[in-house]
Amino acid sequence: MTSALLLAQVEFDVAQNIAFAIIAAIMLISAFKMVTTGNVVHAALYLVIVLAASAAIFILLGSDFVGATQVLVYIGAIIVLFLFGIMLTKAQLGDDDSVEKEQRSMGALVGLLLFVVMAFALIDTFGTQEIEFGNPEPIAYVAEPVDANDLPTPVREALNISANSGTVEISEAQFATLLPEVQRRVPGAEVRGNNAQIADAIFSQYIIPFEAVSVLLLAALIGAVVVARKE
Amino acid sequence: MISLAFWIETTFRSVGGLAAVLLPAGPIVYIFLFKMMSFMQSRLGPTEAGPAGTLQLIAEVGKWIQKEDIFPEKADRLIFAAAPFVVLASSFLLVLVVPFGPDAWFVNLDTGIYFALAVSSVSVIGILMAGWASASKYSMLGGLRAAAQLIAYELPLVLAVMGVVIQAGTLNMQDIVLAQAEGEIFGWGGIGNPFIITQFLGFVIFMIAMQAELTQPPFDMPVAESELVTGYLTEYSGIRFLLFFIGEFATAGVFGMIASVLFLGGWWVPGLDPDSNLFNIIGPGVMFAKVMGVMFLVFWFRFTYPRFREDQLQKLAWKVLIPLALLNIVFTGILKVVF
Repeated sequence: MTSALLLAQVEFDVAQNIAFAIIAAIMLISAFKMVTTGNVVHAALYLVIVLAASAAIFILLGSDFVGATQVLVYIGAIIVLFLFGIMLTKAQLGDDDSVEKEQRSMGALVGLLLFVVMAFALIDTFGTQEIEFGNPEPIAYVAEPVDANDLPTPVREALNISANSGTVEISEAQFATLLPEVQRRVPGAEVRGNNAQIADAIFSQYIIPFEAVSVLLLAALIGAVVVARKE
Repeated sequence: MISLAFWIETTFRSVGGLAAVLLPAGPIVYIFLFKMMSFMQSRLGPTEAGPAGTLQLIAEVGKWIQKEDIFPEKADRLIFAAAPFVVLASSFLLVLVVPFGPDAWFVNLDTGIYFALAVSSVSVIGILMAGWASASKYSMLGGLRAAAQLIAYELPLVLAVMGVVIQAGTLNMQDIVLAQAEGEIFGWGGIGNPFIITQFLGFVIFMIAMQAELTQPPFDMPVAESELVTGYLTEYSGIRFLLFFIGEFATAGVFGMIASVLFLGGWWVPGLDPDSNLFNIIGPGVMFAKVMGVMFLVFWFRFTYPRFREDQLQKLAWKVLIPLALLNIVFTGILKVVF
């Protein structure tokens, strides 16, 4: 009882924080197992868990586009190709003796160095600033005259507009009183969520790097075909 | 709006997800795999267990559960045991974004359909795990064939969805349903705008790619029994085989839901206001009817066509479906700008 009260007093997303702790623990254990296991297929499968956990953290932070992309690109494509490649060539069961183990201390050193640099960068940038889970998505709205008959029912109900009141214009003040799930149904409203922001950034500010990367990937693809074809 | 404690909500969602994935699988297997297949092959199918053999499936499940769960001697036990669960997990992740009514959804992600297409690729990992961990050549070959096929047909699947997304102007599954309910075909909104009409090419490509993703015949090279015994399923028995079997038809049901949301208007039926509360009650039923319609097509093709050869299968994906899907995107884009 007291512990429940204590938790209630702190402004704290309990469920999300517990979920984060569980996911992070799974991720760390899998990452460690991945670099210490003696079997290549096991390593690839541990990598799947690590990547799935990072996708889960992205989704927990309300960035479902990045999370889904992580799953689509890394788990659905890259790891499948890894496994495919390993299984087509050599994929023995049990420990693989040819797995190099002398480089481990070097690897640990590099990992530690990377950890220190990233931890410093993160603490230096964000400090004690709190990150909110799943930010509500901003909805942009430009008032425009619409036929009341075309308005979706929840919008009409919330604003007490009857279906046959002709052309109406919903002012921005009226718009602000609506619930988010009703707001997005108003004609002229546009959800400026994470996805829209990412799309805006990619297709306006970063359009040239984006296109350059696309062409680079296409060139790599054609190059791979040329190298693989002998005749 | 009623708000519940987080854990109650989570329990409801988990139970709902289980029901949404597992409940359609039973009717699909009974109506199509048992009865329709028998009808098309001029035989009776199950008749003894229950009225008209309706309890046959329960008898089969009972049989599999009591069978011994055999592990091959050289198998990688942990991965062998986990593989069927990875395949099932993919269907449970898929059903998350499917809406069953205006307020009846598990999560209403802005990137709904994109998320669905992303998690549908997780099942490949499960199949590769099963193929490798069985320590059998047949399983291995079956697993590799399955992976090659699923990767090849994922592209036309994604590209066919693009047409719908361009036309609806959103990735959100709920908004795709509303776009069809509120849409008009050349100014006539009598039946809304189910995208099966305006995106017919997309629908055809989606259905073919879906058939291949579900490894239903004629795309069942991974389990070609005349060459590979049963591919990656060879070494599985008892409850783990049952899990794969449930996974196959549960995933078929979930893909049917996604197809009906994208092309058939989801939980909405023409003539009714999509915002009425009625749809929260009849929505799941409407979805079930539409899923059965989609499944009828899948199983009709399954029982009609002979199996593809591996090279024909790959050619169909890369040389026919993908170019057609790309053309569909270009035309849809042009028409979207013009109208």
